Parts: sequence; C-alpha cells; structure tokens
Amino acid sequence: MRRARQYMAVAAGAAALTLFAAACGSSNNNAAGGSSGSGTSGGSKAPTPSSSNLASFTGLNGGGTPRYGGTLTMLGQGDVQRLDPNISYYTVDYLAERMFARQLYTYPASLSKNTTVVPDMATAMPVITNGGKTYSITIRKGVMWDTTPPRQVTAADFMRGVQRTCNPTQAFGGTPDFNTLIVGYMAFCNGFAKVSTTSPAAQKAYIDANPISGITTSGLNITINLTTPATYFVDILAFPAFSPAPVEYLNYLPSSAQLQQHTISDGPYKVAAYSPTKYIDFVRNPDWKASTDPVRKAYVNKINIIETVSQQSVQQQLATNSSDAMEWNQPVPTADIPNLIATKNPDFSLQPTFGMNPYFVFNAAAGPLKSLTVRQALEYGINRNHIIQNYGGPAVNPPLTHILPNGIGGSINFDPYPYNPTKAKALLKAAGYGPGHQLTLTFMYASDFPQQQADFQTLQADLGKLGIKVKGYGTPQANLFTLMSNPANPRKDLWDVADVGWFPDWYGNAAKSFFGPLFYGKVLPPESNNDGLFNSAAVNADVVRAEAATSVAAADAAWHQADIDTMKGAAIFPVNQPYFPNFHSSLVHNCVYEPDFANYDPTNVWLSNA
Amino acid sequence: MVRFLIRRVLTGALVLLLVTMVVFVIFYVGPGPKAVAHVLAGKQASPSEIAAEAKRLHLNLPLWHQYWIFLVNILHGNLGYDYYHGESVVSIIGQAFPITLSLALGAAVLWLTIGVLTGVVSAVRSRSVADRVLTVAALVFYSMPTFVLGLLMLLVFYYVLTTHGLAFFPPGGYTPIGTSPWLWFKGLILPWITLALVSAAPYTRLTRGALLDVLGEDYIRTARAKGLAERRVTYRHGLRAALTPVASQFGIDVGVLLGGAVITETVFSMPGLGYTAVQAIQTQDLPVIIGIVLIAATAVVVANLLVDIVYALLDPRVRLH
Amino acid sequence: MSNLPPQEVMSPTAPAVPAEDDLVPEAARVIEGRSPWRLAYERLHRDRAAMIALGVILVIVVVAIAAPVFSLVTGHGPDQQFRTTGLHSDGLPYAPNARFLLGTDDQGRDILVRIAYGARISLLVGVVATLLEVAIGTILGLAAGYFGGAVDTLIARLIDIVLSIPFLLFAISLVSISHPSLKIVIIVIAVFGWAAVARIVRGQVFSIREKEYIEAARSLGASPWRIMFIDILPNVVAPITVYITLLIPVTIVAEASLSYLGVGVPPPTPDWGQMIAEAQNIYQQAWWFLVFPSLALLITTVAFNILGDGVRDALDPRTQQLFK
Repeated sequence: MRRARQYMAVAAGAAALTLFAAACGSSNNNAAGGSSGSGTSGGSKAPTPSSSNLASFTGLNGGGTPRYGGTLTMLGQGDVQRLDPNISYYTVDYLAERMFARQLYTYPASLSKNTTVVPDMATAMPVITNGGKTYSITIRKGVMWDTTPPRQVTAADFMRGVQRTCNPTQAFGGTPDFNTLIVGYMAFCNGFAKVSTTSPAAQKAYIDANPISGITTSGLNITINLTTPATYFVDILAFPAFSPAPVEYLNYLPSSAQLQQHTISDGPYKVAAYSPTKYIDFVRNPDWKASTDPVRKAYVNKINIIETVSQQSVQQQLATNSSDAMEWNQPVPTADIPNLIATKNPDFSLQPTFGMNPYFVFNAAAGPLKSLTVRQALEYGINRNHIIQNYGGPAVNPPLTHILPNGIGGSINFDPYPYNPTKAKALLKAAGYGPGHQLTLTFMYASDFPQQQADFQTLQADLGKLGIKVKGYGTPQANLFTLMSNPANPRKDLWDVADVGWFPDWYGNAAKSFFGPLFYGKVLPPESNNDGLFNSAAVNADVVRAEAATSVAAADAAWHQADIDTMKGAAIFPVNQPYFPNFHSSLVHNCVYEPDFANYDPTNVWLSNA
Repeated sequence: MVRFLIRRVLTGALVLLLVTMVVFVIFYVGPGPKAVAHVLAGKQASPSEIAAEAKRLHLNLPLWHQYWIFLVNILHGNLGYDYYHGESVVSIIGQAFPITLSLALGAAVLWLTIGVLTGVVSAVRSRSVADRVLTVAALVFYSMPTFVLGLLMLLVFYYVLTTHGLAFFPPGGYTPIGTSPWLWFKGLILPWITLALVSAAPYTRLTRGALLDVLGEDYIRTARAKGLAERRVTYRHGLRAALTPVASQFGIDVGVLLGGAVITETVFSMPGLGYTAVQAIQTQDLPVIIGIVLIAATAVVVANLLVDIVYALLDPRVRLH
Repeated sequence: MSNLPPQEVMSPTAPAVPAEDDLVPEAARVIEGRSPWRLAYERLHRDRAAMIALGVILVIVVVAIAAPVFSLVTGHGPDQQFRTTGLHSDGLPYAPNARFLLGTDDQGRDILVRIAYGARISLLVGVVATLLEVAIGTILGLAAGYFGGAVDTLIARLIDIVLSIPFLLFAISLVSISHPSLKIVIIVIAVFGWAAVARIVRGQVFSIREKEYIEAARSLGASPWRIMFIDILPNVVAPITVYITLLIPVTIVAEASLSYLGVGVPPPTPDWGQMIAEAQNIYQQAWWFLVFPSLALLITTVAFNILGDGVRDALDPRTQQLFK
C-alpha cells in the first residue's frame, strides 16, 4: 500500500508518500490475522481486463546473447524520497534500492513470475512450522557488505533492519501491514517511541538492548514467530523495509542526509555519488558475488541516474536511441502512448499495476459528503470515461467500478453505480440540494501534476451540469500527502473530494493491502491511509472475517463482500486500474518489468553497445 | 573618486540590507509567529522537529534580535538546509549556478552582438530596407514572451526536425561542460537563441540612438571635415562613444540574469537557479527560495555597483553628481 | 534611463522608457494656437503603423467585449467540454475543423472561444495593473521630487530595493504563498511595477520644481498638494501617457508569464498564458493548442508596442523611433 508513482510531467522534487509518519507506537490496528492457511497465493497471474492484448506490450527486447559491461543511463525528473531502505515507501526509492539493498526474498526478473517472490539472500523459501506461525530462514553465505574489510550479512543485520522500521525519527509508513503480526514488534516499537528523536547514540543503545522478542537470530539463521498464520508474510519479507541493515547505519539518524551519503551495499552496485535531485551514480560493488544472487545478473558496469530531464526530453532521447538509456521516475508522456501503440513499438511496454491510479476519495467525516446520499449522487454523477481520457483513454486505463483491481484475490467485476446523471440529480434533490441551495464541493488535487489539474477541470465541468459547484484546492503533491495524513483536515472539511492513487504492497492475495489501510474504519490517519475517515460497521466486520478466514475461497468471498459494502457506503469513486507505460532505448535489452517499482529491472538489463 | 566609491559601495550595501529585511518580513514575519517554525521546518515536520526549528530560529526572542541572527547566518554563508534532503542551500545554489552562468553568458554575448550589429546597420543605413526589416524583427522579438518563443523553438527545431529524422536539438535539459563539451554546446543553442532574441531589441535601439546622437556631434563633424573615411568615422570615433550606454545596460542585464533566467530555464528544463527556484516554490521549500532570492538580489545590486564604478572611471562628470 | 531590459528581468518595471528629459518641454510648453495635445494627435494620426496597430487593438478589445458572441455563434461555452466531439477517446484533442475552427484543447474545449475570453483577462490585467502601477509610481515620484530631503531619500531607497528584487522570483513565491487569483496577480504586478514610473516622475519633478511658475505658486501660498497635483502633474502627463502605452504590453506579458508558471489566474478561467502552459505537455500531438494562443498573445503585444512607439513619437518627435 504505497502511494502510487504518478503520471507526471513536472516532477516535484520530493513528491512522494509520507504517510504514517508516526505509525509505530499506536496500538489500534487491523492486522488481526492472516487470511488463510494454505499456500496458494490468490492471483499472481496477469490480469485480464478488457484490453488484455495490451499486456502483450512488454518492451522486453529479449533474445540475443547478453553482454556484460557498459553504462546504463536512467533519465527522469525528480529524486528518490530517501535512500534508506528500512524507511522507504515509494516505488522510485524501491527502484534505486534494487541496486544496493537486498532482501531475504524478492520479485524475480521474469515477466510471468514478477509478482511471486523468490529467495534473494535467503537460501530457500522459508520453512514454515508451528501451524504457519514460525518462519525459519537462512541467509546465504558469501553475501557481503562492502565495508572495509567486507563483512558477511548476518541474521543480526536483519533484526536491526526490522528494528529500524519503527524508529522514532522517521518511521516506515507501512508498519500497519505487519505490526501486530510479528510477536513482540509492537512492544519493541512502543518502547522505541520514547527514545530521543535526535540522538543516534540513544537509538543505537535501545536497538542493541531490546531485540524484538518474536525474532531470534543466530549466525545466518533467522526464526520469526507470528501471532497468527499469514500466507502473505513472505511477501512482506520482500519489502525493502525488511532489508538487513549494517551496524554502521546506527551512527546516523534514520533517513538523514548523512546516512544517505554513506549507504552500504550488499547488492551488485554501490552508490558512487549522490547529489539529491540531481543525480545518483552507481558503480559495481566488488564485494558482491554473482553466485550468491539468484535474481540480479548485473550485466552493466555502471548505472547513472540523471534526475533533471523533462518527460518530453526523456522520450526523445529514448526514441532516437541517443544513449543506452531507460526511464527513471517518469512514465511515457500520456500523449505519446496512442502512437506507440499504433506503431506497435517493441521498446514500449504497458504492464499492469494492480492498483488504482487515480481514484477520488470522499470526505465522509464532515461537510456535505458526510451524507451517504450525496456521496452516492456523486458515484452516479461523475463520468468515469471523462476522467479516463485525462490519463490516455480506456485502452491504457481499463475502468474500475469497484475497489479491488483484477489480479487481486477477491476481485470480481461489478458496477454498483453506472453513470446516471438523472439519478444523481434525484439523489441530490432528496438530500435537499437544488436550485436555491447549491451544493459546493472543494476538490483537492496535486497542482504539480497536469493530469490532476485536468481532473479538476473535468469534474468542475461535469458536476457543474448537475448544479454542483466545484472549487479547486491545488497544492503540491508533497503537501497534499501531508494534509492527508492529518485527520483534523477532513474533520474541519478542508476538502470534500481528493485526487489520490494507490498501489498494493504485494500481489495476489493482497486485498488486505487495500481494505486495511484505506477503508478499515478503526484505524485512521496518520496510522492508515483512510483519508476520508470512512467508517462502516459492515466493512469493518468484513475485514475481520476475511482475516480470520481459513481458506482462500472463504477469504476471497469475504474480501468481495468488503468490496460490495465499501461501494455501498460510497467511500471513494474508483476510476481505473491502469497499465503502466514504460519505454527504453532499443540499445537496452532484457527489459523485464517489475510491478514492485513500476519500471524495468536495471540489475538485469544488458546493452548491445557494451 | 575614493569618496564616490565609498559612497556608492555604502549605498549598495544599504540596499542589500534593506532587501534582506524585506525577505525576512515576507518569509519569517508574514506567516505569523505560530506558523513560521512549521513553515520553515518543512510541511512534513513532526512536532519535535518544529520545536527544534523554533529553537533554532530563536522565535522566543524579539523580532529585531531574530532578524539579527538571520543576518549573521547569511553573512556566515549559512542559508539553511532544504526540507527534503537536508542539503545545504549553499551547495544547491553552487550546483545550479554554473548552469545559469552558462546560459546567461552565452546568451549575453549573442544578444550584445545581435543588438549592436543591427543597431549600427539601422543607424548607418537609416530608413533603408535593411533598417526597416531589422526594426520590424526587433519589434516582434521584443514583443514576444520568452516562453512563447522558447516553446515555438522547441516545436520547430526539436519536434518537427526530430520527426523528420533530424534529431539534432534536444528538447531541453543540461549537460555539464565537463561531461561533454559538445552536448553542453548543443543543448544550449536553443536556450541561448531564445534568450538572445527576446533581449536584443533594447540594444538595437540603444546602439542606434546613441550612434545617431554621437554622429551628430562636433568632433565627428571635425573628423569628417578632416577628410577621414566615413567608415572610419563611424566605427573608430562614433561607435566607441556610442557604446558606453550600451555597456552599462549590458552590465545590469547580465547581473539580473545571473540570479536565474526563470522562464528560459523552465521552458528548457535547465536546472539553474531560476528552475531550482520554481521547483522549490512548487514544493514550498522555503530555505531554497529565500537563498535564491537573496543571491539574485545581490547579483543585481553588485552589477549596478560595478556598472556605476566603471562608468565613473570612464566619465569623470558622473562623480560630481 | 532609456533601458529596456531583457524579458527575463521581466520588469513590468521597465519598458522602452522615454528619455527622461526628452518629453516634458515639448509637450508641456504652452504654445499659443494649437495645443501640444492637438499637435500630437495629428502626428499620431499620420503614423500609418500606429494607426494600424490601434485598429488591431480595437479589434482585440471588440473581441474581448464580444466574447459571448463567439460562444453564441459557435454554440460552445468558454469552459464547456466536448468530451466526445472535441476529444478522441484516448484524450487527444481535435485539430482545427469546421466545428472547431482553431481546434480543441486537452479538455475538449473550443480554443477559438477560449482565446476570445482570454483576451478579457489579458486586457483587464494589462490595463488595470498598468494604471495601478502608474498611479502608485506617480504619487510617490511626485512626493519624492517635490519634497526632496528625507522623503526623497526614503522613496529613492524604496525604488532601489524594488528594482533590485528579481520580479519573477518574488512574484511567484508571493503568489504561491497566498492563493492565486486575478486580484493577487494584479496587485503583485503593481507592487513590483511602480518603481520605474516613480523614478521617471521623480526625475521630471526635479527639473520642474525650481521653475518660476512653481516658485510663484509657492509664494502665493498654494498648498504642497495643490502644487503637486495642479501645477506639476500636468507637466508629467505626457511622459506618463507614453509610459502607459508602453507598459501595457509588458504587463500583459508579465501576467501571461505568471499564468505560464502556474501562479496566475486559476483554471478554468480562459487565460492565454495558462493555455500555453497546458499546451506544452502536448504540443507534439496538438500544435494548434500551442500556436493559436501564442499568436493571440504575440499580436496583442506587438500592436501595443507599435502604438506605444507611435504615441511617443507623436508626443516628442525629436526622439528616435525604435520600430519604424
């Protein structure tokens, strides 16, 4: 459940997700249990929306004999949010961390399996005992930190990484995914919350003295005890947040500028130079051994990320093959997509995100949209097709008329509110709005994203026809997320409708990654992303039922019910389940798309010029 | 002369001091005492960070004392740190400045050349066809907003050429000269031309006017009477005198540009000072905005000062005023 | 001070300023017979380029006033979106055609109608902000020049500060701190634009205030206000008039630049600078979206500059014409 990487033409330097700033330490949360006991994960198959032929745009550029060497350039506009793997919660951060921060498990560079985790630095898939509650994992021998001298990555490093996720200075935003799942994690975090936010020494002392009781480490062996079985726990182990952390990181405050200038690598590349918002240069990490890494082939010698190139410029440079380059943080400009599809460009890919981007969240806490009738009027009254035009049309944006996108366990298509302005007007009238009593709504959107500006103008025109006045509240993306993380803002009716996006944290059996943070009414921001403070007894019950389910079928049925109930409560207006458009120079080969960071895997591409 | 210099430097310093006051009032006092720590600590700051920032800013002190600390920090070259990466504003400016410098100097040379040449042609061939064509062109480019010209340049020289298989000009961006002098040059051609064309017209006018004035003066008539060749009269005697106002205007304009060519840098995505400022404004990164505004104002004041001093050296009458 | 800085300086502060001591004597000298204004009018009338420019400006004014007529004839409202007839399903706009003479924009709106309505904003800001600048500048300039001493020093320093503040940088930070609106845009432009006017007026007043007829007024016991506004002001009307015509296009460009940078008049109000900004994301696929609003803006500024040049010539035939 990370904030979605946006379609953007002008990147804000730090547009990103900064939700859950202080997630740790809260005791209210929804992770009551895993959803099922058996091992199949619900739907890591490719989704099959109406335009499944588009998924044939893989941009793979496969075949040929891989060559080693050369410099891969990644072009874009905008920076990572942070280079601290245990804290990062943004697709672009994940992309950079692919080079230098390995996890126990990760997503492989395989188009057919890129949503199913495989061992990374673990020797094998975990041995699960104790009725699904104990995970035993061993780290491969020979996975080294690039310290002087090089040092084996150990189980203690893993423990340290998990501990860092809820540091009091800058916590990882996704802790609700697992904070009640790991035995002793909450207790550890509650204690950590009392430690100085500004003293690395104090934080180090706390970390050293207080191991998480549910995690035991010995040499390369890790044992993790869960409070309840959870099949998706292995997916959670693939979060960059669960990267082992070297002891040196404790010399700095988490996510601090100093730490980001002193990253330590256990991956195939290491940071040679990082100038925030300008560039990141990666070079080979001599202490990495290919034999210890089943996932990354690391063909290229260097990876130079240039963060100051406009979207148009990137597209031109890639299209004219003027360098060995792929995209960094910006997707293909929306306006270029039709032509790339029409010409069947082999270097162009359209791949599923399993997310919703954008969707409109309604403020259910205060103001006119506190009324269910008015929210339902909007569900009928917003023309989904018009919004989709702002994102390049239905071919790239299969419509989404409910919560769970295709490919997520529990997703069944239904459309509770087919577009019907007449009905919308009738509902508005029933709610007491009409001539003489105009409904006025404040629409909050990211002013630095052209498509969101377009959304505002589209809504203003469409809802205007229903007699609704839409006022715009444009603010930079970074600020928008901050406003969202404070429940006082919806409560004082700062906004009525907001333009946001959502990608799941894992795939297949991942409905929890939608309902937990977005619609479960008992956890509110900043600990969740329930931006509109939606609280429905039916949905809350569905979530509890789904998590307690003992079979995949039962869990999926419960999640589908949660989907129906959420739509009944008109919590959000879903728009689309987009395909992500990426592009690369045809000199770059083996471009395997990874939904985890919505781009090709740079550690597996090779260059024909090499 | 020394007295003039001292007076002029002091006036410049005073203006700069007043500018820092304006900046202080707008950004530190304007938001109100409660909001300022929050604003300056960054929109995403936690309460403890805000408290730390309030302490750092000494918000408990009276305003004049806060201003004094602000000023001392500036004088120590401490412009603060950006919200998002904790990078020092001085280093951000240090990275952006070479880009602005590349853009400004190249464009300045170009517009000075264009402006003076067209001005001379217009003056010497007053009322000729060339004069008319040049003045019409000057008028059109003078009237053209920078972003309109820049975008039309991109449309024609980047897009149309590229789609016709002639991908020569990049659609923007900046390559450091150290990386590749050729790419650096290639990438700067369109921005240079854009900036030069919209800036040249005043120089055409200045040169033409000054030259026509000078050519009417006594010593030129004397030179002519002596039988010197017309060409020699025009260029040796006339132009030299006519260029003084041009040169002083040039100094001021370059000074202004060194603070960032906001529009040109934005159109061509060149991360110089202007572009960095626009990005900082979008993300409300106030320390960066304040830093760049101060630098830009300093550049203007210093350029004015230098121009005045050079002018005074050349023309003793000025000192008497 | 006949400086005309590059646009990046973006001074609404400094268009082609008439040389300080050029204008007054000619226009202000009270000659028997035909008044200087009458003479100026006749000279302007003979200036063909200026007359054509004036015609173009009148057309633009008519278009602005009659913008609703464009809506009526085409049947397209300025903010009305034609999501099916004006926009392909993939969101790309339509090229110029019989239904949409200048094509549609990225929201399926009629560019022709929006350009017509956009003229209103450009002219409104151009005229109002200019008048505001000139009013502030004239009053402060008069005060500085007339009172001299401490008042003059204060105002002169103020002028120096405003002139050394980079306009665009300050304007965008100011506008983005408050919420952008038409009013804010006008105020910001005026706040940064008055200094150049004040400087000119101040210089003029300096040269006039020691004249005998002012001395006479003073000795007759006229109040400073009376002297400033009744006796001195009329003498600076000529340069101010020239200034206004030359300042209007600069102000229009300043407004369009703010809109281009996203801190101008908020959408969906049609505005040329904003249309151009929106077009830059899509100009490869929709050249008309970039080209037509750009042309509208360019024609307007060219016309005002030609007229301004003509007015200056008319009021002071001795100065060199720039654009002739």
